[in-house]
Amino acid sequence: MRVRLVEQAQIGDDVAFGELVDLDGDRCYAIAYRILRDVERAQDAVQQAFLLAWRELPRLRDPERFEVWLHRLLVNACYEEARRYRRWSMHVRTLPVDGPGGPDPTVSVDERDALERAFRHLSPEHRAVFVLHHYAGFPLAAIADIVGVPLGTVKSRLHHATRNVRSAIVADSVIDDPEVQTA
Amino acid sequence: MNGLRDPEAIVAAWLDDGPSELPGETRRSIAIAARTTPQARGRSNWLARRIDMTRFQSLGAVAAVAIVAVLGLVAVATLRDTSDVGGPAASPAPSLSPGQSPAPLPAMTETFISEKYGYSIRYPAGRTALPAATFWSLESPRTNAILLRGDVIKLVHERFWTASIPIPEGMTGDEWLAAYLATYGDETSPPETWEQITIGGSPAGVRVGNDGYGYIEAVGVVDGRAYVFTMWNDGAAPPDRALFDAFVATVELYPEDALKAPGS
Repeated sequence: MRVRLVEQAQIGDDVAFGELVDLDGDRCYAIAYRILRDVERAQDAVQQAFLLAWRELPRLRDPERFEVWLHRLLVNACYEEARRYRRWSMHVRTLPVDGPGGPDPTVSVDERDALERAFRHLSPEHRAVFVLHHYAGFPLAAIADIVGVPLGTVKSRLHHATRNVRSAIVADSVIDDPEVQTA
Repeated sequence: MNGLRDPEAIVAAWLDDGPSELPGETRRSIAIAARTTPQARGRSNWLARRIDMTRFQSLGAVAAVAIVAVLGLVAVATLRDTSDVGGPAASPAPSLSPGQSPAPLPAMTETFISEKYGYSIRYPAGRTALPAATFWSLESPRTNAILLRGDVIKLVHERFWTASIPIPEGMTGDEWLAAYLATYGDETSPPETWEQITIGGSPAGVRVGNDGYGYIEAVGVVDGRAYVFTMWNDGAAPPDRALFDAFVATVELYPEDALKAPGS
């Protein structure tokens, strides 16, 4: 069904394209938010990715590869938004956004704070690989295709990002652990 | 104790937190953009045309290209001869020092039509025009949120932002401008000092400022609707004025066609 919609959109059917937005919009938005950690910039990135997808669709040779191609556009749009963040960050304090049910009680406030801080220290390229793997569940080979780097680079970025994010939690946990504090 | 908890589970739970549904406004903006944005020409079409050419047509095309190339060489040679003998050459703009040349302005080949704000504007190919995701209001602070409340054309170092708003009944244009400046004001540049230009056949005032980043802005009122055109730069210096002028020169205004904000 998706391939049919892509083919229709390739010849200018904006209704078919709208259905593709319905199919993929939520997932793209969820990924963009997790890379950028900002609702409005995530919306902007998704909008930009879909608009570029609409314009460039006639040049997509293999409709079967639409999903990977769309995610590539999305990740590039996130990179651009991330680069522009410095410009606006002086005016805005970004507030964390929780899911419909509020924050997950599995994660304490301190842990969330530590994770946010550690994640914001990562480059957009590292964040993208981390989110595509740990959140979106893409295999590493597909991530290499999406972000346009060799598989080895993906592995290296993922290792670096995972180590930094996890170490934020571990460090936080160690500080919170009274046995460690009194040792 | 946190020390006994699984970091993997904590990271996974943290990643799961957050929004996962694309807001309806953004969906609508994408749909509008798809309706108003032409698609690129497909590579396959070009290949198909190439393959469909007969041998005779191909030879004709090659001959045509050769003729154009020869004519081009002749033209260049002629121009060189003219300048060598000291004939009248194009003189630089008076404000430029010798050796300086203005940055070439891009050709405005694409058209963006704003159904929400009632205007059209042209912009260079290869750049992105994003329709506003939500309606702008005077209460919207000039933060990153404002970007989504206006139509944005993304350039390499600049963003061209446009929005319009109906002036409330009983309020004059000057009163609206005063209210606008109460939010977006710049004491160093009162409206009396603004340069007057014409946008879409209607008068508008232009100011140059810095709100952390350099900007040029034109504000005008047409048929009870106020229009704001702002170009921001990445740096502290204002954007290139010629580039700003090139954009506003392509604007056409349709205040009567602008959409009404919900609840207005």
